[in-house]
Formats: sequence, structure tokens, C-alpha cells
Amino acid sequence: MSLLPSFTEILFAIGAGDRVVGRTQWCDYPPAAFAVPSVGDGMPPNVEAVAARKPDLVVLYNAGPNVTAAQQLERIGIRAVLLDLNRLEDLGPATRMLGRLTGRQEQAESLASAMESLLHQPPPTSTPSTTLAFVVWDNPPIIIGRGSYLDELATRAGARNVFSDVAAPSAQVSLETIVARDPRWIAVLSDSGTPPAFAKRREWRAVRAVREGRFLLLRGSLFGRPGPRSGQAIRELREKLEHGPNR
Amino acid sequence: MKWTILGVATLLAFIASVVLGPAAVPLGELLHSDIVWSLRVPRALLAFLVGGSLGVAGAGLQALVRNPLADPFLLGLSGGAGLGAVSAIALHLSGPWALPIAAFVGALAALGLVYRLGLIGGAALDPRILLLGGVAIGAFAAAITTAIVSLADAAELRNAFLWLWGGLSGASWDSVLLVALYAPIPLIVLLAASRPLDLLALGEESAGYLGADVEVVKRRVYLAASLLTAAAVAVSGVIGFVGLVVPHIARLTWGHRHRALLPAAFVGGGALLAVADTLARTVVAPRELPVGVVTALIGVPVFALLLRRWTIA
Repeated sequence: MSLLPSFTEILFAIGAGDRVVGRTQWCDYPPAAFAVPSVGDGMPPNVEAVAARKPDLVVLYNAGPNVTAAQQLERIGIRAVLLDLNRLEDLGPATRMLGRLTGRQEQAESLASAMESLLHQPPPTSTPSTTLAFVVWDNPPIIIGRGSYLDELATRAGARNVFSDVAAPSAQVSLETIVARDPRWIAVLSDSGTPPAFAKRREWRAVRAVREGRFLLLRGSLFGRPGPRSGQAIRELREKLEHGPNR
Repeated sequence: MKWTILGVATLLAFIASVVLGPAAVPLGELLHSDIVWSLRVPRALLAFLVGGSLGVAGAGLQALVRNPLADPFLLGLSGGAGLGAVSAIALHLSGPWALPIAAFVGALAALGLVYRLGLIGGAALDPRILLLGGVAIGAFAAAITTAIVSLADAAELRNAFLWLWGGLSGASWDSVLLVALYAPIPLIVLLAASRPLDLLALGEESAGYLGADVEVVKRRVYLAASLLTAAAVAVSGVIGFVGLVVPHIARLTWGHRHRALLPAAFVGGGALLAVADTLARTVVAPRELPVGVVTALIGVPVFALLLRRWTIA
């Protein structure tokens, strides 16, 4: 049972998809994953719903509420493994671990080394036209800082996150800081494909990229999580930066 | 003298909030800077208007319920506003003003319910029931909000809480204009009730003997204070402590006469929120602190200091 969309993607990519008996409501890739019953929100999991599916193994994202859930699962005799998956570097180890746990070492090894090769390619250099700010929420403005997966993704795609000096995965900033740093692009995770509602708010029009309508709308299921498709996400972001967001 | 000090402090607070900010704007360019004109000035003005409204609303409510712990947000309005905001996201209402409008409607709904509860014993508005009803309606709305957040599957739902505690980030000339047009009516209603509010402090019965139309005054004060707070929550979310601490500070300095107390609470609340917001924007720049943290960090020590002086004197 996989309790993180990234784990679900990896399990399907290494050919263990037919053995997944449960997923979270957020696990939407690959399409075959929809055939697996959902046990709801994975963080923290509903331990009874998980146990009712009688899994041999539960993989959980290593974070606060899940640690307690893992202990509860172990206590009732279900093996629970907590794995880190916050950055591109975590993909290799997490994939190998999932390979070992499911007896798919070979497939896991080849996927892990393919993903690690992403890390060894020198990223394209950023230019003034490839600066961006990831805006997660508009009021108060929350941006993505250094040390986050999205910041890494941007760097690998040859973009420069104007908030890479902020040493937190995400942080509240003042709108005027965004105006002053004047990113070329405002990147938002969006599945609707339309500019965010805040684009029409008076105070946001002080930001040049907003005024000039330069939004990078990134699909959450592709860009929002590290996984086997991180390479594709980097390529798509690069393409949007080079040829305009509508490509 | 007291008024001069307050006036100078307010002026300094306003200047500081326009000059200081996380983005470096050279002094010579202050008047031409887009950052200053479209972000800092409206934000400083909104801070002043919201802080002032909360100060007056708090002073009015404390006199009405004769309870020093009364805070404008204690009467269920923050719960109602939160439910409104979460519902707007869950129902996928879009548009730049969807959240503020939904929060305002939610706060008004809570206001209506609490008011109805306050009248439960008959025609007279019972302040004790207002307080209890406020807490109960607030808790009820918060429970529904939490249920929606945990059951619906929009990933943004949790952000509704960010919005609710968001402070003055959404300030623009639009929101300043809106508050500047809206707030004067309830403010004037409260100011006009100064004399009856003084009498109310003596107890409802005595106030009645002294010529106050107690029932009318209570209703007016409750509605005006709540309408002010509902507007404040729509443009700046829940900002704690201003409405609780500022009226006490004003009362300790200006005495119990509402003719002086209410204007002092307005100016003092405005100045406090302007200073608090400036600190919130600058002390951890480029990051920003939630402004409610700063209002509590400034408000409480000032309050303690005054309390000490007051009890020793």
C-alpha cells in the first residue's frame, strides 16, 4: 500500500503496480492507479482503513503525523516503512528501497540511475529572461524558497528562483518584495490552465509579471511532486521558458 | 498633552510604515515609487482604518457586555468568516473578491444568529447571552469549517486558514476605499452612543433611570461594533489583541468617558496596527510575520506597563 502519490508512481514504474492494494485520494498517476481503491487522505492515514485492506507492507512519507501512524500499524503487525522524498536526490534511494521491498531490484536500479543521471547533467545557465517566483498562495503571499523540490526543478530547467535566498521550503513574504525582485515569470501550480484569480487584484498588478500576464501554469500532478516524471517536468518547464508558456 | 503625544505617535507610525519596507526604496524616490504608492500607502491606510475600527468596536463591546475580556472576535465573527472563506473555496467560487465577500457574508450570518440568540429571553438583548451565544456560534462554525476541510478534496482548502489569518497583505486602494466608505457609519453610531455607554457602566437599571433608552442603545452598539468587525475581517482577516488591549490602554489613560475614550481607541488602535504591520513586514525581511503575532508582542507589554502604573498610582 502506497500513501504518497510519488511512491505510487515509482511502484507502477518498477512494475510493482499490480501489487498495490491501496493508494491515497491524491494518487492520480499513472491512470492504472485509479483502479486501486483509495484509502483517503494519506497524511495522516486512516489507520483502520489501511489495515482493512490487509497489506503486507505500507510505505509512508516520513513526516510528523505519519510517524505515529507507522507505529500504530507496526503494533497491529503490519510492516510500515517511512521514506524521505523531499528533493530530487531522495528519488534514487527511495526507488532502490521500494525495489528491495517489492523484490524488483533490477527495475528499481535502472529507474534510480536514470533519475540520478538528471542530477549529473549540468543545468542550462539562467538568464534574466528565465527568472521566476513560485507563488503558492496570494493572501498572504507564500512563495517557494531554497531547499524545496520546486526550487531544484527550476534550477535544473535553467531558471532562477528569485527567492532562492529564503532558506525555507515555503515562506510568507511581502508583496513589495516580489515587486522589487521583479521576476520575469510568476509560476503557479494550476490544473485549470487559467491565470490565478489574484491576477485581477489591484495590489498584485504592482508586480510587473502579473501586469504583463506572464504566468507559468504548471500542472500539479506533474510538477508538484518528485517522481519518475521529474525529468519530463524539467523538460516541460525548460520548453515553456524558451518558447513561451503556451507551448 | 495626551492627545498631542498620541497625534505625534500616529504621525510617526504612518511615516515609518511608508518609509520602511523590505524593498529598498531610496528616500529621494519615495514620492515616485510604485511600491510606495500602490502598496505601502494603501497598506498603511488600511492598517490605520482596520486597527481603529477594531479599537472602537472592542471599546463599545466591553462597555456593552460589561466584561473586560470582550474582544470583537469573541462574538463568533471569526468563526463565521472562516466558514464563509472555506465554503467559497469548496464551492470553487472564483474571482478576485470571492474570499473577502464570502468571509463578510459568513461573519454577517454569525452576527445574525448571535443577535437572535441574544434576544432569546424576550425583547431585551441580554449581554451575557450575547457572549455565550458568540462563543457557541463561533465554535459551531469552526466545527463545520473543520469538517469541510477534512472531507472535501480541494488541496487549497487549508489555505483558507492562511487567508483568515493573513493580515494586511491584501491591501490595495480598492480595499482602502471600501473601508473608508463603509466604516464611518457604524463609527458615528458608536460615537453617538457615548453618553448612554457611560451610563450603561453603572448598570442597566441605573442607566434607565438616568434617561438612557437602554434597549435601543444595546442593539445599536452590538450591531455597529459587529458590522465594523465583519468589515475588518473581510479586508484583513482576524487580527487579534487590537480590539482587546487598545480599549483598556485608552481607558487607563483617558478614563471611562466614551466621548474621549472612543476617539482615543480609534487613533490608538490605528497607530498600533500600523506600527505592528511595519514591524511584521521588516524585522524578518524578506520574509514576513503574521501581523497578529506582532500586535500581541507589542500590545501585551504596553498593557502590563500601564496596568502596573495604574495600580501603583
